[in-house]
Amino acid sequence: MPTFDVTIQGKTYHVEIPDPGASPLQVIVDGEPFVVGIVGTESGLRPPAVPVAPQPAPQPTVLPAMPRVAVTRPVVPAGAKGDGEIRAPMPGTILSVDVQIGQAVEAGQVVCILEAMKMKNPIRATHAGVVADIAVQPGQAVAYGALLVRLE
Amino acid sequence: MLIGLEMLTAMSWANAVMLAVGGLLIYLAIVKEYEPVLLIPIGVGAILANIPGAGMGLDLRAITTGQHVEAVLLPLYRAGIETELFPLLLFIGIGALTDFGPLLSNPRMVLVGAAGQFGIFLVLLLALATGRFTLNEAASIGIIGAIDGPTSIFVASQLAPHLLAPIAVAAYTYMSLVPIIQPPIMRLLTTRRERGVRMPYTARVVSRRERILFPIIVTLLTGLIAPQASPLIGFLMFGNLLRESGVVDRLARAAGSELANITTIFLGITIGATMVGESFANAQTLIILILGILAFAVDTAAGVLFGKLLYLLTRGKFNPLIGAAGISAFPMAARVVNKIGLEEDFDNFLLMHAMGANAAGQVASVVAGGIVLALMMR
Repeated sequence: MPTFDVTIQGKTYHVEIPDPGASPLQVIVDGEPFVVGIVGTESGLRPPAVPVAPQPAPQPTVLPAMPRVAVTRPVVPAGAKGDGEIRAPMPGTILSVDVQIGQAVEAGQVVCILEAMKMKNPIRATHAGVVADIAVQPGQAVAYGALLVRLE
Repeated sequence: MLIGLEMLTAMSWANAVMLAVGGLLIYLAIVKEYEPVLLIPIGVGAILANIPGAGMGLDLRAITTGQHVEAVLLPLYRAGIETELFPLLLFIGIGALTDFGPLLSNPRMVLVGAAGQFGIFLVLLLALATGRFTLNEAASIGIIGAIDGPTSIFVASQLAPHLLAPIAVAAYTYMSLVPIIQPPIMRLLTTRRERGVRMPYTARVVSRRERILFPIIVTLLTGLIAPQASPLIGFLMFGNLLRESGVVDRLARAAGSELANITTIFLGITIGATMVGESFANAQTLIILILGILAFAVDTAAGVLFGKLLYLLTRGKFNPLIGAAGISAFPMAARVVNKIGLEEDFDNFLLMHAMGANAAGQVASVVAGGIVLALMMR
């Protein structure tokens, strides 16, 4: 497994890449898994696995003359959904978003439909609240643990 | 008018029954949307086969005893079903459509897939106990329990070709009834607490190398364990390699759509045409249908009970519902598991685990078919 020690803005991160050929790429930064999508290359060559700044950095820091990289979302263990965050229980595609920002929802109400393995899965609010943020739109592919909707 | 009368007088009660059965299959396909892709061709075949004087029926008893038969669909029967070619071609398409990723990321599901084949052997014994079937016939009936249409046809066409029609019809009809037959058994055998066991998604990433090696290794392993299953597994894994290789998208697409669709049409209408008059509408068919549904129920129960064993061994970390997905009906059984799990806890998605077990069941039922063939053809 390729491993790197990357220093970004004075802080050193330990980066592991279990499978450099996988797409989307999974990288493990200081033990925390991230899903990385590679957007484009400037050289036309197959891009090397590029270490990216993990969450503490304000935005994905890109090393010069390297492919642009988008960090989708840190993979969060299911069940660790504090702060009214509703996260994707598995990878899939958002079919529809059934709530609007500002809308009050009850526990158990469907907030969006996630299609996985050609099956429509209703994603429901775990508790009552008001929709503060919608992080996805219909047609969007989401990784496991991606933020879908935040309730307040 | 005269012609209409001629049809009525030539029609036996058995033809009338089979016309109604054909109509029922088409009704289930269109109104209930149960496996319409298969049930419409089979239903149409059954109707055509039972129009007196139309010459469309394939009487398997006559064909297998070497009598002279003239029928439009006979060449398709000879080329595709007697030779077992259609189920094999269909398996290329199924392989190209099946994502074994959930199984590869959770390999212990192989055990669940194996447990889901128990009913095959129990019903084999039960069919023998009725005294109405030979060993070969009983084995062919047991295979229905795996709810694997192509494997059922493959096995029956070698062991008991005269029973092909009821066996194929049972396998395909029960495949469409998975969402009706399985849930009561699953609820009966599990407690609320067991159904509510949470199993978060396992985020293990499956590498491309694993995905490519999987079909090759499974083909070789099956060749060692049950070489009689090699044609089925080999074609299934061939289709899967087309998909996972990533370099022959054209072939993978063609296998998963055109090849699978055309084969389904030919297979469906030919099987439908074998449901002809008295050679189908009889007590024996009824017994086969009953034994078949029993085999399916026992397979489901064995899977769930094995799931309960895993629940105990893992101290409550394994949801026994997943055991029910260890049959071949892919991906229907996995969807049913996910649905029952969500009924208990709307935030507990078992889909990916169930898909792993279901993919294992897909492979295991083929291997079980191979083992049955190996045992019977000694």
